[in-house]
Amino acid sequence: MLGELEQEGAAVICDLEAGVGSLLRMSDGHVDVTLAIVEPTVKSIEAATRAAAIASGHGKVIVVANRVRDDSDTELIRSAFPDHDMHVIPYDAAIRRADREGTAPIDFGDSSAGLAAIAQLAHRISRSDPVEAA
Amino acid sequence: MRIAVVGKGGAGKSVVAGTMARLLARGGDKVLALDSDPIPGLAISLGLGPLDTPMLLDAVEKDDNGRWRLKKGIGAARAVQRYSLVGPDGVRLLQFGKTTASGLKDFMGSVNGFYQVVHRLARDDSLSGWTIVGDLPAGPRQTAFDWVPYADKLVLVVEPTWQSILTARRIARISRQRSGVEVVAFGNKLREDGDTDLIEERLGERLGGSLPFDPLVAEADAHGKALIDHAPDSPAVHAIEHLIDAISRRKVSA
Ligand SMILES: Nc1ncnc2c1ncn2[C@@H]1O[C@H](COP(=O)(O)OP(=O)(O)O)[C@@H](O)[C@H]1O
Ligand SMILES: [Mg+2]
Repeated sequence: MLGELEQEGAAVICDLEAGVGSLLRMSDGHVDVTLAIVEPTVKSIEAATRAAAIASGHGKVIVVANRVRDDSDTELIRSAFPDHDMHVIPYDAAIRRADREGTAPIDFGDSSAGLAAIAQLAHRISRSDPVEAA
Repeated sequence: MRIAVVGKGGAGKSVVAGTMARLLARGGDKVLALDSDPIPGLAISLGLGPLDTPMLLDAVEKDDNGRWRLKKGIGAARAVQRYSLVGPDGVRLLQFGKTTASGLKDFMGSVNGFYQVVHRLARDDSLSGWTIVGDLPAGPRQTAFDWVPYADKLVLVVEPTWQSILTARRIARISRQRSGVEVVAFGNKLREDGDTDLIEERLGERLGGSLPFDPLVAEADAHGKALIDHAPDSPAVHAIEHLIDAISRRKVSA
């Protein structure tokens, strides 16, 4: 289905369920980039390692280290994904607050460190030619 | 007592299930911990570290129609005795396995065997003295598709976020269609005054207990350790003790 949505100038962003269920059912050529979101915990790294391995069969994978509080968090994730492209999003209380209020983080008051990092990520993906980058 | 722990992804199901199992075992119960989530969680929260093993592969075979069935002579009690792993405090863990890069297909036998074992658990008299704590994957699906026929209590772990509350509402609605199940909503990662009200209002249920946001929980997970080993005296462990008191109507807390 994802393939049918393809259109010049349009971007399709898919928020998948936890784990690798939907990744496994995805066929080749339908995704340009997979973002594997990972937190600095053993459970999350375990899950993301599997997801990244499956997704690498489909195209480019960027490991997104989320809720990062300090360098040791970044290091923990970096050491689990030494060969991956990685993007860091710092822990951001504004994103938690937005969730609590049920508003979109991007509509929630002033731009914050977390949001800025997400914007950078979007910029980075849209600029690169994913097919070539893969 | 037969408990299943449900809720949205990241709500804290595995931490709550693993810590409850350990506390109940310390209190003298024979505890069986069941993990039907293909994503790693319960083994770590029990203190066994990451563990992928599909435990029921040897318990199953295919019938003439190519469907998985438990081998002859393997009922729930036998499956538990033979295939579960004994963890800290004597908690027994039975899990169907964890997805690897090749997905679920290498251990579909174990997944099917697990489903059949849980369906026999409630009917097996030799297990009637056991306490069961089941850790489920995120969302309402397994509750809807009858993966917890053994449960008489459903612990619904809810964070003070919209997504988490909406998921919890859905699960509560589905589980209320089954008779004989008591749903206990449990707030997690509460940080500020008003979080309890916020959850209760939007969920439409009173909370049976709650856990504050506790950095020690996150720290235990960052190290891949059980909360109860990493921070036995933390506010989170005490809150989980109180949850057990509340749902079992007996005291395990000091
Ligand atoms: N009360 C709490 N305070 C702080 N962090 C928590 C708390 N409860 C859970 N967490 C953290 O939230 C994350 C998800 O918990 P986990 O039990 O794995 O969730 P689930 O099994 O529901 O997906 C973990 O990193 C855990 O450390
Ligand atoms: Mg879990």
